[in-house]
Amino acid sequence: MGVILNLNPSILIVDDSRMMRDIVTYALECAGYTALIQAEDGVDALEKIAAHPFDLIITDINMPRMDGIQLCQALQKEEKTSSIPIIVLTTESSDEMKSKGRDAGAWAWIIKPFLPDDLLHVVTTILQEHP
Amino acid sequence: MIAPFNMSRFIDLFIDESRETLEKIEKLLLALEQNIAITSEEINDLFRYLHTLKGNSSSIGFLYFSKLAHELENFLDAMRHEALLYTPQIGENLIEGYELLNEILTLEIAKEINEELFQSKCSPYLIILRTYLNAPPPTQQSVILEKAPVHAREGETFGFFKKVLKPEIASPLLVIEPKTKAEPPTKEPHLVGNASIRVNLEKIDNLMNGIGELVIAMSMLEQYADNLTDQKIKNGFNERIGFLQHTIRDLQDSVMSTRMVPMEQVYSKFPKLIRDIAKTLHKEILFKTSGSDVEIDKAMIEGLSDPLMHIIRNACDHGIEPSDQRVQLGKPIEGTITIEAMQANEQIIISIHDDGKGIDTQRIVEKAIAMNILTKDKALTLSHKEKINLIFEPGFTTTTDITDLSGRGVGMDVVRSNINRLGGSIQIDSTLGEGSLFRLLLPLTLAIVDVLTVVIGNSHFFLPLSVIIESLQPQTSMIQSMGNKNNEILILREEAIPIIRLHTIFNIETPVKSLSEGMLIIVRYGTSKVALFIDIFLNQQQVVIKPIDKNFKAIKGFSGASIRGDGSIGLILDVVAITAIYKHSKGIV
Repeated sequence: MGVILNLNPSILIVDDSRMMRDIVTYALECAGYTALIQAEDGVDALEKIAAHPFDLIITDINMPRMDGIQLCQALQKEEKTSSIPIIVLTTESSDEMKSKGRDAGAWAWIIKPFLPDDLLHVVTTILQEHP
Repeated sequence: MIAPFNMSRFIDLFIDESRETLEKIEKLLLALEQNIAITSEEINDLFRYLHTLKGNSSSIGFLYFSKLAHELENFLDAMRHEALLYTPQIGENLIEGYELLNEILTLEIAKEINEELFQSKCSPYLIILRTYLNAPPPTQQSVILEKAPVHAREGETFGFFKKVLKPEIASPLLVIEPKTKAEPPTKEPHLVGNASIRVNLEKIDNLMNGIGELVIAMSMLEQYADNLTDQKIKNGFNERIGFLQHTIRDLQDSVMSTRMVPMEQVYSKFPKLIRDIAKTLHKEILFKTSGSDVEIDKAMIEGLSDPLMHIIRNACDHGIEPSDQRVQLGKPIEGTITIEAMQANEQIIISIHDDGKGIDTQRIVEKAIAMNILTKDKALTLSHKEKINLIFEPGFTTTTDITDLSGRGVGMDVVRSNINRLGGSIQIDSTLGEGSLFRLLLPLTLAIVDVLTVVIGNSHFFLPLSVIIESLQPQTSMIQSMGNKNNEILILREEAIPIIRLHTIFNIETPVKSLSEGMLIIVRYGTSKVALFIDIFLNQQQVVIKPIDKNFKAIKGFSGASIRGDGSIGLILDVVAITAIYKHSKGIV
């Protein structure tokens, strides 16, 4: 398991499913992360990001109101938020989805169902690169 | 990892969330039936619901459910891209899919699903779906062998886009922006910021119990204050108690409100039920609801579900006439069933109305006479309402043919006793040819009940106010003995009401043995009344009901317990059970 550099990086977990949010939260909690905030869709996420600086965002793609791709795009547009690393966590494994995610500014992707170790690997790698 | 990762702890959450999502799907599909056309927004919503079900179930390891959701998602995806156009037939297929999802979910939860069962339940359906899509029929390949059917291809489960690998994009930003590292690390727990959280009902019950204890501590203080002799201190004490009382009541109200859920949850089952019944009976039935935002105690929903279902079934089956009959009668071809909820006078009132044929009181009376429930002479004296109320007699039924739906198993007497068990009552009004109205009057909550404290010997009991009709001190002229010596009857306004001596039922020693020395409390018992004989009654109060421990279940005659102001336990009297004991002792079954 990687070393956590930022002593307490804050991470926003965006998913319209309460269970998915809780699973991701729990996986990160098990690895010692504690500053974990949840949002239920893109709109909710933007509100929370405006109120609180985050070191990392993990988002689902398929969500009501504002999906994960739109969320990435919205964050890219603003200078204040364009540097926050984003991981897309989705059941969609197509290349089309991946290129959409990349074009929208995501940093990494993880396919659901995911292994907690994979999630932690991606999270720690990004936080090491961009602490 | 610091702690092992255990997915099974999410199963309950998964089940809850999936049921909610399935309800949304059901609602959408039923609305579709009315509208014929589907909007792209509705297709997107359906797609997203199925997508969530698929993703979540594969995460939790419900692979059969995930597989089915996946197939349906593909189907919706084709509709989303207009490769497939909506027809009412497709609507039917989707409803069928929804039903299968429910069935497979139940089997997954029960851990009863296997490959063979899944194939036998779903194969024919999946073939239909694939026929629409011109896709090859599903292979008989095992779901388990396919692993998670939604998993990434070529074993890739994650990956990085260029950005992370090219630090030159990221690093300048790093230099310019000291960023969040300088910020104090957030200590907020992850739940902060969520507008709502899910709480186990048990935890709320614990809170409620805690408040119950507070109420008790409160009344102990009040009793203590009563004994104070110094009037000045006593007044000051009472004033502060008043403030405490107010705060406790507010606290009680806010905890109560967390137990409340909108009637919507009760209503959500019925559209599908009615649709299915209407289809079986070849009737056309329109279902309307109002008051879906009226709130009701969550604990009550369970007990309410069966009675409502029964009433609605009856309305579909016996109330609404077949379409051709309705046309002949000049009624709209579509029958209408309306369910309405409102809150008034600290009560929830639920009305179920149908515009069907109404209750034929003549037929009911004939049947009652045939069943020996009623004598011909008595029948002549009955009012319209009393005649209708005959349907609450145990075992009463007017249908000679047994239909699949209402059958003969459960009668209105069971509906009534279920409602009574919730501390509520039921009223019926009906006009022949025009329809029937069932009205359920229910308390706002099951947790707190208004009671009257009654005394027998040295014992105190609580009697729920909801069952009390009146109380009186009888004169000897009002009492008559019937049959053998021990059957005492109260004659009140030409009505004969059996008297039940509670001290005999519970075997309590009391100096008050003569009826004219004590009190009679007349209470509702089903359609009739009984008079309970007690020594005297004291105050009226609100108590928090606590269930009686399993070990004491053998003690009959009580529905629960509560703690009294002096800390002792008061049992809550159950009229139905008491009457049963009485009848048993008299050899009446």
